[in-house]
Amino acid sequence: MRAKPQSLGLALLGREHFVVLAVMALGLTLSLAMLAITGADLSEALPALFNGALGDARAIEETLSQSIPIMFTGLGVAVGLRAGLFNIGGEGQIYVSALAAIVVSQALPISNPVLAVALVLLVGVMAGGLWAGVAGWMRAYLGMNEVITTILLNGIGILLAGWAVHGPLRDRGGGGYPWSEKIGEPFRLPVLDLGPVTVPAGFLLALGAAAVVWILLERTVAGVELRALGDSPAAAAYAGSRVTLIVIGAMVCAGALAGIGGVVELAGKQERLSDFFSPGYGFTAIAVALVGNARAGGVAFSAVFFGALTAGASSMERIAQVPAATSLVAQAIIVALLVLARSERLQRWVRARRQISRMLEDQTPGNGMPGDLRSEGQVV
Amino acid sequence: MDSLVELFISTAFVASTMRLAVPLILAGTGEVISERAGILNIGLEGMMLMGAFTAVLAADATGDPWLGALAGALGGMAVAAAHGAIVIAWSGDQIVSGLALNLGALGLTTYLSRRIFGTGQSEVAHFEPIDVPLLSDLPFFGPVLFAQSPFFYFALAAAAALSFVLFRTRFGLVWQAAGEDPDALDSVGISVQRTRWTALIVCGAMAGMGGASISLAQLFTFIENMTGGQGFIALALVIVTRWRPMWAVGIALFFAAADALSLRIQALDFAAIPFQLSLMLPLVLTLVVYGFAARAGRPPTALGRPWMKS
Repeated sequence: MRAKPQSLGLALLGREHFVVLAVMALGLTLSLAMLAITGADLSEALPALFNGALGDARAIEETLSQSIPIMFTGLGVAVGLRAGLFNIGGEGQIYVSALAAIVVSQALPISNPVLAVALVLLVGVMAGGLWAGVAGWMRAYLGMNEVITTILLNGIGILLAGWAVHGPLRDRGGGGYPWSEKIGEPFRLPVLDLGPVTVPAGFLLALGAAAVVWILLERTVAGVELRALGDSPAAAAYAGSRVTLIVIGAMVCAGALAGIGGVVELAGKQERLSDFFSPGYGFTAIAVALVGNARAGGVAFSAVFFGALTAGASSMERIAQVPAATSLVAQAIIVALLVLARSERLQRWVRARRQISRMLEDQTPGNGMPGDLRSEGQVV
Repeated sequence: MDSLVELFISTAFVASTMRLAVPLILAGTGEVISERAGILNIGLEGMMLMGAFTAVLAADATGDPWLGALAGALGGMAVAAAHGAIVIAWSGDQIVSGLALNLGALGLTTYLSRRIFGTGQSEVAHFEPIDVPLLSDLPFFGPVLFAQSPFFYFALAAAAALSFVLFRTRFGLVWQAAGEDPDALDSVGISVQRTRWTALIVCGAMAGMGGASISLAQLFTFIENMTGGQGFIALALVIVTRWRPMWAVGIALFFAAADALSLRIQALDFAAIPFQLSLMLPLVLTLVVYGFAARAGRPPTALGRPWMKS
């Protein structure tokens, strides 16, 4: 193997990590430009954004705490993506699993905290898995597009939770708010004091989930089958792969992950279920999974990034009166730029330029004739 | 039971079904055209929302609802142009681009409406129902068909016109070819990209009008996320129509009847059904109908696939 000198730009464009970081930086810059154009005072907004995300131990805890539900749900979206499925249903899966957890916690008032937490997490896995599994079944057996079904199921799941907190689960002494009673003490997740920073226990669970997803996808037979389906559905079917099983299994896994996310948000942060339980975690999770390139490690990293963005944006709203919807715009810009960066046209251009630079290099004296076997082998 | 039958044939119910079908007809027929040409628009919801917003912006600024409707179409077209830049010019992933545009439209309209209108908001110049002379006095058919907003008549006319163009003109056949066999289209010297652009822009204008019909003829103001998932119902609707514009009218009326029923249940406090459960009705119905229709039709062969000149 010979070193392949090529222009720095080309080399960097070929590196996924660099592309993602560049897209994130450009996306943030464009979003801030939009704020400036629409008349926001950046000298006030920028420090608020930064301090709200990373300014002190409290801000860091908020960033980590914001990253928990989107890390779980983003991992779910990533599992779907690797199988070639778009799970847009994180939002519904979060609501349904939190609803199930509240119901079970009230029906079975366990006092042992370890058992209690394990129970509600299991309930979250089952409820989220079941909800997404419906979409998987519709895809596998009825040929229904999961983008549309999961979105419709979102609406149904959110309304179901809304009905419960306005009706049977409503906290009668809750100051008139349509929300449930707080989940019982033993079911709650603590915030851990780790010296300089405090870290919500849910964050460690989310990192654990990322590790499990990594093992599942990269180190198990099921993961290989799942990825094979995502890479080439036709080839996987031809090779006798159990397509229906994998499709449903991938959706169930995705929903189970989002479901744990919903339960952890309930048990570790909000403690009550309400109409406004999730401010769009299920949708942010899509950006999280795409920016993380549907890899477990990438998702963990990008969840923290978007968690910081959310924490920073809400501090901007409080301090500089800049609407927090800015973070939605930033997410959209980043995802759109990412699509461009991974687009067929750019990929083709990069490939062509590489080929040209290699051919030029081969023509320089001492490198052999152009078109000899060695250089042809490299072009591939 | 009697009251339920009476409800379904009541003038008010049928008239409100017609009114609620309008955004679905507009966005649905637009999406049929775009998908026929091979471009999948998951961003339909975002186009509608942007149209609803720009319509209110213009109607508020000029005091003229007609300029508002025009601005609504332009708002939808702007989002369509962004989609086109990503998926036609750059051959990017159509589903992800659509998702980004939905997110972007939601964020941008929420952000801008807070900045421009603040939180409290009043009615803007809007459309009142147009009473067609004489015909609107007919019993039942008068209020149902001849006392609707201009969007209603425009939606029916546009669906018929697009159906004619798609199936009966050369232009429409070219659209279909771009979605069925773009290589063949290219080989006879017609630009696939340009063909797809026209279809996508038509879709953007229609979806934008659909959004404007919600803000200017139903609610008379802009509310955050006011399209509330109608764009996604329209996406399912397109599959049920098996990609035929005129069918969009019928299917939209069917879905809208579920909407109208849900509103009625809330208004009448029917059998004490909680409003959240009545709101589920249109969603569940869409899923069921879509489930039955999912494999009935064949989508355009090249739908969702980027095409590049090799």
